[in-house]
Amino acid sequence: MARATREAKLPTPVSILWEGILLLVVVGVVDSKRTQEIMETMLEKVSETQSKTIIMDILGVPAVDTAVANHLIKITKATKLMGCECIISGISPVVAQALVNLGVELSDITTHSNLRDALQYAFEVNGFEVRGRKEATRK
Amino acid sequence: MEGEAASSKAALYVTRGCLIVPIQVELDDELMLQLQKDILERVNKTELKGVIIDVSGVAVIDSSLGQAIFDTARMASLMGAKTVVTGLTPGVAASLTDLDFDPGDVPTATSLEEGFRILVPAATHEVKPEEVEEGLEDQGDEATGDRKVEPGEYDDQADQ
Repeated sequence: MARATREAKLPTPVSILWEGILLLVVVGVVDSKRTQEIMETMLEKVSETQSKTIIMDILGVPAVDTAVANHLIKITKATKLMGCECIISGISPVVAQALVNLGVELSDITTHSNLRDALQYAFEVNGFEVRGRKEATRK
Repeated sequence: MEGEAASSKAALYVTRGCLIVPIQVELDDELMLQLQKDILERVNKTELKGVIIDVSGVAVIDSSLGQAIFDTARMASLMGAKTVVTGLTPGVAASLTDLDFDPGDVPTATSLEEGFRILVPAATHEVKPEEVEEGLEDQGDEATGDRKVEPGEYDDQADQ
């Protein structure tokens, strides 16, 4: 019980990762109350920054069942209404299996196993490309 | 003359080749229907690149009004005018999502400027002398197209 309370009080800050790209790392259990809080925080930030993409990393979410999946889908729908695409990253093999076996439909949402690929996609959506330089600068 | 009293609630104007429909109040069914009619008439008569329905002035949108707004967007699109709905506030987005509202494939954006970017991609747009740029000067400089990641900027992120 104590653990659940601690997790409910965990803040879910939304960071500005890049121009037009927000990041939210979700750790812990996602129930309907937490979903509400996450959604409010995200939408406020989307409104404030007018970002086109937000990456939601769920690697730290212990169990993704149908209920949790529906919470996540709801969040993506809310941001979409504001013109911001929610990309889900941190989908582990176990979670991938669970989602398909449960018949959860995520076809409209771009998902990735890791943050790096999600970021790559977000760069593309925002019209950025990353170039290497011959020599890296180290301070 | 009857139609005019209802249609004057939202002043429609054309700028940069797009019809702008600012909705400032919660419209009831009758007014919304009148507005829908006005918009479609304008689309029919005027050569437009698209329509932007801006609802940033509305604090509460119930599912019936939401449906009517997005239906109007779809209707205008069928008539050849791509339509974007802009300015949905966080509160409105949250409550519509709670009601399982489906916007379909109508594009949405937070700002008017982003709405323009969707309708008129920056590369192809030229401002003509007779176009009026009302109230858009304060949107800032970020709105002018793509920005490449400069070599120095991304390297700092690479360590993560």
